[in-house]
Amino acid sequence: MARVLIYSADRLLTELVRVALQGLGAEIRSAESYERFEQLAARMVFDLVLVVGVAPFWNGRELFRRVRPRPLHKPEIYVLAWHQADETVLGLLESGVDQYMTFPLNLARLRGKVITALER
Amino acid sequence: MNEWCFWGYMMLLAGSGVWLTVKLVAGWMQQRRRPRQQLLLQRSAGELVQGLLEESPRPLSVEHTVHAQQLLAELVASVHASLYGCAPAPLTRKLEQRGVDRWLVRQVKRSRGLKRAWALKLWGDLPPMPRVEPACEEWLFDPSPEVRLSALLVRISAYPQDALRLVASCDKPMTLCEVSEVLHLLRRRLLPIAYQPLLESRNRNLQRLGLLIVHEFSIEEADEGLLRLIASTEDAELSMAALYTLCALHRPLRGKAIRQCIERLTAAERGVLMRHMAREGYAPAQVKRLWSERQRVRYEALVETYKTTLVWS
Amino acid sequence: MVLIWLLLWLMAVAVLYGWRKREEARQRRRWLDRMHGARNGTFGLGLSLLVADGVDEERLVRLLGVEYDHLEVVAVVDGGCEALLIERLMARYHLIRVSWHPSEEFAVRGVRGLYRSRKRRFRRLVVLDCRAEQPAARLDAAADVASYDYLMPLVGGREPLKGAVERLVTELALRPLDSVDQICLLPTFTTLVWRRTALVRVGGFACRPLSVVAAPHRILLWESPLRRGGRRKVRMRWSVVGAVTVLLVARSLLVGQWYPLIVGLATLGWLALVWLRLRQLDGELQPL
Repeated sequence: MARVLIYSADRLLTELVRVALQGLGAEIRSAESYERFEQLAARMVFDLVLVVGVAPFWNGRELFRRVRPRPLHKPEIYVLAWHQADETVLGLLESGVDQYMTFPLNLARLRGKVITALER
Repeated sequence: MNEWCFWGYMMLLAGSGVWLTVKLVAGWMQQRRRPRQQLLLQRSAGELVQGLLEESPRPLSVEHTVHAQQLLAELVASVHASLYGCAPAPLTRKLEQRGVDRWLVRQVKRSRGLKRAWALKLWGDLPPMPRVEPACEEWLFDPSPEVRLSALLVRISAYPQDALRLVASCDKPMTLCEVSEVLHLLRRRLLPIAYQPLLESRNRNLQRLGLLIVHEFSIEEADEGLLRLIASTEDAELSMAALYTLCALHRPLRGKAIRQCIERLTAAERGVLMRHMAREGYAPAQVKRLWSERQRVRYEALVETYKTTLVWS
Repeated sequence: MVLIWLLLWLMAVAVLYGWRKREEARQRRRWLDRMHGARNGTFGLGLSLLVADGVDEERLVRLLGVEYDHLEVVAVVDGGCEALLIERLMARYHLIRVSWHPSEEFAVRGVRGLYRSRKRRFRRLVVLDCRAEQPAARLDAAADVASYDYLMPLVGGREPLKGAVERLVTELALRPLDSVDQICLLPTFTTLVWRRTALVRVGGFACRPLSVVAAPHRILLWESPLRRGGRRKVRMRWSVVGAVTVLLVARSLLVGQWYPLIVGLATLGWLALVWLRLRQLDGELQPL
C-alpha cells in the first residue's frame, strides 16, 4: 500500500488535500509540526510527501535528508503554496522538489498528479 | 467639589469597568471555545470539499455551534480562496440555507469602522450571493478608507464586468494594496484582462492596474507600454513604478526614456534604484550608460557584494 | 486635592484611550489578515530584518520560515567570539564569503566579512561578521548591506509574531509608495520599521527618531507585531502604577481617610481589569 505524508501547519489545507486524495488506496498521514514530521519520517517510508508552504525549504531544516534517508528510495516531494514568483519556484525545483502547484488548487488535477506519482 | 469629583470618577470607573468585564468574559469564553471550533472547522472543511467533489451537499459539523454563521462564512471563504474548478453554486446555496448572507448584511449595517470593513471584506471573499443584492453604494462613500475599499471589493466580486469602470471612477489614486486586491478578485473570477489598453489608458488607476498585471504575469512583451509610461512626466510615481516593473522583468534597460527618467531622480532615489537593479542581477556593463562615472563605480562595488573573489595562488 | 483628582482623571482617560486604541488595533489586524496581496507576493515591497544580537540557529530558522517573498534576514555575528557559529551557518546555508564594500551611507567599522548563500532558496540570509560593540553600530552595519528599502531592527531577542510581517507590509502598501519613512509603536514610541533613505538622512540607528521624522510620514501602531522582548520594562511600568496606588491606599488606612481608600481600591481593581484585558488581547497573537 502506498504511503502519502502531508506536512502543513494549516489544518484546513491539510484536510482539503486529505479529502482530495481519499479513495486512492493509499495510507495518508499528516504532520502539523516539524517534530511530528521528523517522527513520522523516521518511522515510516513514504512514497509521496506533500508539503503545504515553502517555509520548510527556506529555513534550513533538512527536510530532504529526513524524508530521503536511504539512497535507494526517493519519495517524490510536491509543494503546494501561494507564491507565484519565478525565483521562488526555481529555488524549489533546484533544491529537488518534484512538483510545485500554486493555490488556488484544482483538486481533480492534484488527484491526477498524485495517482501518476504513486503509479510510478 | 470633592464629592462631585469623587462620584464622577467612580462613575467613570464603574461604567468602563462593566464594559471591560463584559469584554473579558466574552474573550475568555471565546478562548475556551476556540480549540473545539478549530476542530469543527477542520472537520467541516473535509465535509464541505467532499460534498463538492461528490456533488451532493452534506451537513457540516460547524453548523451546530456558537457563532455558526461567522464560522461558516470564514470556512467557505477559505475553501473558495484555496480551490478553483468547483462550481460556486453549492457554496452559495449552503450560505443561503444557513442565513449567512442576511447575517453579513446585518453585521455590516450594525457595525462601524474596521468591524464593518472586516465584515465587508469577508463578504467580498465569499462566492456571489444573489439573494442579497450587494447594495453597498452607501459604503462606497463611507468616511473610513478601509470600508470604502472593502465595499468596492464586494461590488467587484458581485459584478466583475464592472471592475474597470469602478477602478477608473475612483477619484483618488489607488494604492498598491487596493489595486492588488482588485487584481486578486479578477483572477478569482477568471476574467481575461488585456494589459495593453490599461497601460495606454489616460486614467492613472487603470494604468496602475495594468502595471500590476504586467508584473504579476511577467509579461515581457509589455516593454513598449512600460517605456511609454517611463517617458511620461505627468506622474513621477507611475513612471518609477513602470521602471521598477521593467527591472523586475529583467528587461534591457536601454533608451533615452530610461536615462531621462533616472536624471530626474534625487540622489537618494538613484541609490534605491541601484540597489534594486543589483538585487535583480543587472551586470554593470548592462546599465553603465545610465550612470555617471562616480555612480558606475558605486554600482560596481554594490554588485561586487553579491560575488566572491577567486584568488589564484 | 484638586491636583490629585486631576491626575486621577487624566490617568483614567489615558488608560481608557489606550485600551480603546488597542481594541481598534485588534479589529484592524483581523481586517488586514483578510488581505491577499502579501500572501501572493504581489506587492514587491521588500523588508530586511536586521538581527544585531542573539543570533543563533534556531532563531534564524524561525525568521527564515516567514513565508513572505521579499524578505531578507541580515544577521550580525562577531566572528572573533562566535567563529564556530559562522562555520555552522556556512555549512547549513551553503554560505560563501563575498566582497564587502561600505556604501558610505552609514558610518560602519569593524566588518571582517560578508557571507551570502550560493543556493537560491537561502538567498534571503545574509551574515555579517562585525566587531562593533554598540547595538546601534551593529544595526548600522546590517543596514549598510541590507538589500531592501524597509528595515526592521530586531534587538533584545525580539521576533515578529506570526503574520506580522505580512501585516506590516500591507500597512505600507495601503499608503502611497515612498510616503512612509517610519512605523512606530505606541505608547512606547519604539521604531519598528525604518525606510532606508530616511534612516540615512537621520544618521543611522543612534539618532532620536521622533525628533526628525515628520508626522505625515509615520505610521503609528497600537499593537506590537513583535514578541515582547522588553517584558521587564512593561512589568515595571505597571508595577510603578500599582505601587503608587498601594501606597496611597496604605496611607489612607493609616490616617483613617475613607474616600482616598475607596478611590485607591477602586482604581487598583479597575487597572487590574484593564491589564487582564490587554493580556487577553496579547494572547491572541501567536509566535513564529
